[in-house]
Amino acid sequence: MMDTLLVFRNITVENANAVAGMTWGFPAITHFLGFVHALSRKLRSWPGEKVELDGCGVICHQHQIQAVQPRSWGDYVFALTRNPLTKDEKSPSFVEEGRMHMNVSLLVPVTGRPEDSDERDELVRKIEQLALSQRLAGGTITGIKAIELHTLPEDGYEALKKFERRQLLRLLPGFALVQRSDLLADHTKNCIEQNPGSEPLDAWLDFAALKYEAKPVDDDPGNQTEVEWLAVPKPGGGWLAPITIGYRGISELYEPGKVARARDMSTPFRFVEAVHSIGEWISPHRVDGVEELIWRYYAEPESGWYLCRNKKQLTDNKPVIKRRDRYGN
Amino acid sequence: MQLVGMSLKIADYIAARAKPKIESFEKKAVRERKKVDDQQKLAELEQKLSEELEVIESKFDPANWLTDAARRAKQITLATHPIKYTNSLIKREESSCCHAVAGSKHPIGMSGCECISTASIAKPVVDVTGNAGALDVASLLLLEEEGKTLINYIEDRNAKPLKPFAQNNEQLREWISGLQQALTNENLSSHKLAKQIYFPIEQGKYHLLSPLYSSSLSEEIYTHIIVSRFSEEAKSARKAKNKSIYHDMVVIDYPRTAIQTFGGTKPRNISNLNQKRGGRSFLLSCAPPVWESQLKPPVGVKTVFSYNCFGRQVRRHTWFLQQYLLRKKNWPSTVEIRDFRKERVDEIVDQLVQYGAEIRNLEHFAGWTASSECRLNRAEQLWLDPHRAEVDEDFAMELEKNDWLEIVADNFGGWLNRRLKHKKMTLGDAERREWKAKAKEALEVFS
Repeated sequence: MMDTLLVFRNITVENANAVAGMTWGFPAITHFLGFVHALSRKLRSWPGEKVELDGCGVICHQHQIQAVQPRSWGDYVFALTRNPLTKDEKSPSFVEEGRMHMNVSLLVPVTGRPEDSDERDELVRKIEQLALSQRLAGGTITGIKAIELHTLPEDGYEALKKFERRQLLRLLPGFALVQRSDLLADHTKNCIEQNPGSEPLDAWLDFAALKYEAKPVDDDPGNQTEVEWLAVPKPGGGWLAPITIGYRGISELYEPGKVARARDMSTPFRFVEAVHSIGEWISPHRVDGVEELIWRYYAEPESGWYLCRNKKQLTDNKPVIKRRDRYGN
Repeated sequence: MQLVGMSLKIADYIAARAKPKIESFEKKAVRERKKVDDQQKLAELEQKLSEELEVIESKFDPANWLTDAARRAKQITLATHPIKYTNSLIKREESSCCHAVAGSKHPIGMSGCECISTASIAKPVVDVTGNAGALDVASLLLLEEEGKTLINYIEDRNAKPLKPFAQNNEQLREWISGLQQALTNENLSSHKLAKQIYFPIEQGKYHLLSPLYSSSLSEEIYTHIIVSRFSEEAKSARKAKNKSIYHDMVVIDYPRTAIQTFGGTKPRNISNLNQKRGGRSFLLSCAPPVWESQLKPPVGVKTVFSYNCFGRQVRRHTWFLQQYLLRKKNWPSTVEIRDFRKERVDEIVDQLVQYGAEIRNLEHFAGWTASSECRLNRAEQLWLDPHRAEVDEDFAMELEKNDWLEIVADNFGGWLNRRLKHKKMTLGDAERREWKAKAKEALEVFS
């Protein structure tokens, strides 16, 4: 349960990782959750009121990806760094990295309610010190504009909603990432209904595609001479993007020590691959509460799924747009 | 003995591999024969040629070939997630690659349609890493009969397809164990250059995960994109679109893709499929919307609802909405169309709120509306420069009254109507009132 809200305002990050699974343009949400988790572990030795950081919401204000379009149209390629020579005085082989600079804010729910204002200030100073020394999404944090610790008002639902609304507005202009796997599931079902040979991957790629089809000018199916090419609507509204949400096990869980050259011989080991779904970049003022922006870890270790989950999809009941063909059938 | 099913396929495969060798030998034999006219020399030549032919044929005798293949199988690895994609310096033998058939299809808490991974592909392609000279062994192992490949048989230690060729059980066992080496390593190992990350399970407990790159998923995405760009139907559909003539097919583009290369100048070093893709793999964009940041407040304009100011921010949205309305202009107004229209307008109104918030947050320009250069209309001044109320009392009083909300919303309604107007479509007062109501509702956050 969230008692306090920790806000990291305008964190400028340089050289963050821009590649996530089969997507590019923003780091995977696992990076941000890892940052918060690491912070939480370090705060366990905090002498004052025990606080636990659980989950994180990400709002992106600015981003600049180091990629170019060599032909000024078409595919982007990453701008790579020139790395130091190997001991044989040769250039090392290329291992491509996507890099980006970004300016993000994080909303972190905190359990624990430091009442004393001196203690709160001390805690914020400690958090600042720890956060500035960590990396976020593989990039260096060059500055954090402000770190604020807000105790949630306890005098009723209205006061709480007002507080949350104010906090969300202060995050503008910016876009928050929320999960919309429900749209993907609905669209996949629709695709399979319309065309039984469809695969889930086809439905997922539909969200990233821009389609045009020929439509007769006067809506007469027989007319094939006067047509105009119009864009086909996407399967859902909003700025939808394919995102990486976690990992899926592709091997069994090995006991500690069984796999050679593992980083640590006392933790169970598993080989995994990235899992993707659909997310939406939404303006913070459009959500009903801070909880809808928060992502948390969700693991099913027995079946080998290690995911990150966000509650937005559970509260939003907007139906997905069912595609019709060009004649309205 | 009559060969059936997989065994027949194996025999055919070996024969197919033998064919080019024998043909080139025959050609060489013909050339050699032409050179010699002397009878005795010819006889010697025939002797030598027949010996050579025997050697070639025995090499491709199924039993011998299979023994050789089993011996060479360890030079390659069949995997759906080769380790080399993570870092090309990791040696194939040192670290385990994985096969995607393992693992569950979907998490218990979610449906299979919500997560996309290699498990979502019905038949993932198996990739091959290792010595290119042993690729023929890989092709042998990937021979398929009724949905089952030879690899599947060997994984189950089922020797049925190979039995007809073996002389005895021991040879059969040797083949099976040799060919099995083409699957993953028995020695489980990761590498210091591989990715290894901790994932928290519960309080204080973690699992160490090593993510591997899925060559099969990459191949599927690559195929989709290449087909949508370069297949014959796609090319003819694009030509038709350029000429505005009719075509059945939908033209599909994947904007904002990036290319990630593996293997530098030698893509074959990573894996076989990597070479087929030319070392490239496509990445789809997950970036947030690009927000053209306002560095200065809109001083010189009469209204922000003009093409240079707010209009620029939402030009993509208004274009899309206009296209949609043009498509549906002759249709009766159904719930679906109204909902879609509502959503698009909601997005534009969102952008309006973002824009407003950004201008209002330009704190060090506070009071910019008071300068003589400012030509902005009063209502918009009240909306965009609230900090002026701290120094200007009249301004503060007008701000309190909130009349400006109505006027700004009205301006928005009129502007949007004008933006969406098209010679084939007219929008009237009803639409304008609707846009105004939406904008007013959204702008209340600023009051």
